[in-house]
This record gives sequence, structure tokens and C-alpha cells, in this order.
Amino acid sequence: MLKIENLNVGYGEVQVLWDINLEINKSEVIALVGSNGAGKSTLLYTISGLLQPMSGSIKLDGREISGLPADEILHLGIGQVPQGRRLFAGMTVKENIMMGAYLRKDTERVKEDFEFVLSLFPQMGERLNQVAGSLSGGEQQMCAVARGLMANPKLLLIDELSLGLAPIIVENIYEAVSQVIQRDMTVLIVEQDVLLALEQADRAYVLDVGHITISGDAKELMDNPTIKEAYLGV
Amino acid sequence: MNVEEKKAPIRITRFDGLFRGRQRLLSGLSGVLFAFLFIFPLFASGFWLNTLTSLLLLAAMAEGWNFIGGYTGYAAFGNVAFFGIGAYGTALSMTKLHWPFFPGMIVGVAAAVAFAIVFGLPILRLKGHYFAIATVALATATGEVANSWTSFTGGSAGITLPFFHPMQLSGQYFYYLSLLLVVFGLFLTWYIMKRKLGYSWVAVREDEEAANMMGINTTWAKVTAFALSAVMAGFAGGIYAYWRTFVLAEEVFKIDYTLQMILATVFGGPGTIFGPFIGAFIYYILVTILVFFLPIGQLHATLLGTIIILVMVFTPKGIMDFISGKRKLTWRALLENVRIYRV
Repeated sequence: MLKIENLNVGYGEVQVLWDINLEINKSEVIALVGSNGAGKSTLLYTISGLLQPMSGSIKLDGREISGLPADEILHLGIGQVPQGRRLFAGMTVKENIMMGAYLRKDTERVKEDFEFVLSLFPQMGERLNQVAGSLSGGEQQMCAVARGLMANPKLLLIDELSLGLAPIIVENIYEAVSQVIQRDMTVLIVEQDVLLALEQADRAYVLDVGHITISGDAKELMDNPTIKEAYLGV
Repeated sequence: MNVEEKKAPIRITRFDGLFRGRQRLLSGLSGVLFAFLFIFPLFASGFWLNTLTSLLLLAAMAEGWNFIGGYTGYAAFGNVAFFGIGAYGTALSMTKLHWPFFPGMIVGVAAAVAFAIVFGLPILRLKGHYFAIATVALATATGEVANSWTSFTGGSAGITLPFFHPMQLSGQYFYYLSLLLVVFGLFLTWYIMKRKLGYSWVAVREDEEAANMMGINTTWAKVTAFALSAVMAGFAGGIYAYWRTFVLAEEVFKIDYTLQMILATVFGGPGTIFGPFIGAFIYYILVTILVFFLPIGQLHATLLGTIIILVMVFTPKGIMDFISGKRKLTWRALLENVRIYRV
């Protein structure tokens, strides 16, 4: 459904991504892994329209989307759970979750989806009227995922979900994400925690200083000697 | 007895309205204030009626500033430009085109809104200090243009408007007109905050990039906030022009007005519905006491400055925090405030 070809991205004169080629099929879970500063978030920002590419193409269901503004791209079906949660701290949990559905006009479906995300994250239901800034880190991440889901995107980009969270909480949230995947959503996971990402994904791409160096089946990559040495530390 | 635990059903509505604090208490307080304001002209006139009219015009402008400064979080320091343009637009339509007051005022407001949109589009891309500086420069430059373009604005001679008839009702007329504008501002704020537009403003204030990710057209959100603050200040300028029957660039583009709008909003509570209105009262009461009732002569400005600093240090979110019971007025709470805001 998403096809990226020869994508080059940079900030000003500094080029960050070089000749990126990446393909995501419907109902797949793709992991994008790599170390700090490899350009993972930059790639996500480019897909979701917050950054404009220098050259190359991004096609969603055959339609060119590079260069479109972010709200347009969300409308076409690419949603995002940003790195560091980025909740609206002064708004309540409920308001934050509903902000995810900002562009949607199908109010009845929004209500159904709201009940669905509350069933995924029952803790959120208890904290609906609490200000998001007062939540714990794990709860904030749940709220951010819930908010991302409320846009009901065809493709959800999840950036560094595990950052700064206890493993048990990360497991909980990924458990919820896998339920979403069963509902026919396509997901691109960006993770620094390579093992965690490979466990979740069908296929994976490894990004190394702006280049995609390795790609393939996630389970096979776990046995790949280069990856084992460089990222898994075994 | 049936001791069944009752769980409140979760109301699933999309936009409940971004209201904070004790709304019932606040609307009650404002209700009393409005009842007082409504009957005020029955037992007061002259100086006090004029003072209250100025207060109401300030409250209206502060309500407008609250849109861009309070809810959207952009430190606009040039809102006096909208006031000045509203005043000049009204004055010019009434003198050059000989239009009646209301259509003339609409011209003034339209000019202020057009100005906000045309200049808002480029400068609202700036953030923080850069935006603040750009707005100051914009307001100053606009005032200079009004002052120097003698053939159009009359330059330093100003514009004299026709008088309101009948003269003896003039005071009451402009008082109630200003009161109406304040009520309109409150209603407008309430209306917007129950809608998507209000949510988009607050989202921009909280995290502009995340707002963008949610599909909010942040440029549109910021420009509407800026333009609606121009509506409030533009109306205030129009009323001011006809009320005073004289418009002069030095007077209607004074940066003092911007500062008063900001102070009133911050005193009352930025990003709240009644905050700017209540803050304008606090500001006026403070100034009136200092200037007229304390025998300290020229020291009143110094004292006012000191009080402003203390207010900023101790109640960064305005009086509203105390009224809504979120903050206690104890020494420990105040020092905690100082610690949190690193003053």
C-alpha cells in the first residue's frame, strides 16, 4: 500500500536519508530499526508530511503523496504515534484521545472507535477526565497510541514506543497494538530496541546512517550474523 | 438497602468544550458583576461612567487578545494595531464617506481583520520572541503610517468625528454599546471553545507539531485566532472613535493598550472564558486606587510596576487559579510557584 522510491531527505543542506526504497503491503507489520541518529524519525516525518523530501517519491495506494501537507496525508489514511508521546499536556485524557479523531466526520464510528480504544486500554477509561500531563509515562504512551488509533488510519506509524518505559508496560502496549493489527490495520514500527521490533514485525528494514542496509523477513533477520553482532549484542 | 456501586456512564461526546475551573461559581460571579454593570448608569454618570466605559473596552480587547495569546499561546504584542485600524476605519468612513456609525464601524473591523490575515500569514510562522518582536514592529509601523499619511488620515491633526445625538445620552449609549461588546466577546469565546476551532487553538498552544500530526491545519488555526482578536479590538476601536469623537495616531496606536490587554488577561487568567473580563476589573481597580486614592503623586507608576511584577511572580496563571481553588494563597504555595516557574 505504501511504496517509497529513491527518497532523499535533508534539513537545509545536510542530507540525512539517501536513496531510501521501502515497501509496505496491506496488513503487514513492518519494523524500521537502527541506532540513534540513523534517520528513522526523519523518514517517518517525511512519510507523514511534516518534512518535505529533496527528491524521490512516496506513493500511497498508487497515489503520490510526497509534498502534500500533513493534514492531507492524515486524511488519506496515514496516522502517527509520535516519539516522546507529544500529548497535549493541558488537555484531559479524553480530549487528547478525541483529538486523534479531529478530521473525522463520521461521529457514530468515532464513538465506536472510542469504546474500542478504551477496551484496549482500560486504564484510560479510569482517567478520562484527568489532565494528560499528570499521567505516568506508561499511561501517557497508552494515551498517545489511543489517540493515534482514533484517526482510524490505514497505516499507523509508531515511533519509539518503548522509549523510557518499563519492559512490562511496553509488552502491555504492544499486546494492544497486536489486537489492532488483527483488525486489519497496517503498522510501521520504528524502534531502537531491535529485538523487540523484530519480535513484533513480519518484515524489517535496517537503517544505518541514512541508508537502508539490510531488509527482509523479521524472523530471519534475528538470525542474521551482522544484526546479531551490531544490534542484539550476542 | 441496595448498596450497589454506581459507576457514572462515560459520556461519549466529541467536543464537550474546553472549560476549566469552577464554571458555575465563575458564571455566578460574572452574573452578579453584569447585573451591577447593567444598572450602573442609573446611579452614576460623568467620570465614573467614562471610566467604566474604558474598562469595558479594555475587557473586550483583552477577550480578543485571549484568543491568540491565551488559547493559542502566541505572545502577540501588537494588538493595538487592530484597535487603531478599527478607530481609523470608522473615523474615515464617517467623515470622508459620510456613512452612519454602524456601517462605518463594520468598515473599521473589516480593515482590522484583513490586516490581521494579510500580516498574520507571514508573521505567525515565527515563534516565541521572534513573533513577539514582529508584532511590536508591525504595530509601531502601522501607527507611523497613520501618523505620516497626512492626505489620508489627517496626520498629526487627527480626525474629528461628528457628535452623537442626543448629546446628553452619549455617555449611556457608548457605555451600553461597550457592555454589549464584552458580552458578545464572552459568548464568542464560549461558542468557539465548544467547537473544533477552540480545540485546534489549544492543541497549537500545547504542542504545535503534534497538532499538525492530528491533522490540524495549524496555519488556519493561528490566523483565525489572530483575526478574531482583531474583530474584538476593531470593534473596540470603532466605539472608541465615535465615543471620543477624535482620532489621533499617537493616541490609538499607543503600545500601552497592548500592554493593558495582556495585563488584564494575565491577571484574570489566560485561556479561560471569564479571565480577561475579570482581569480588566482587577487592573482598573488597581490603577484607580493607585492614581486617585493614594497620596503618592508620581510614584503610582512605580508602585503599579512593582505590583505587576509581584503578580507575575506569584500567580503566573492569574487570579483564576485562586478562584477555581487550584492554588492556595499561602506563603508555601507562593514559594512553590516561584520554584516551579524558576523566577
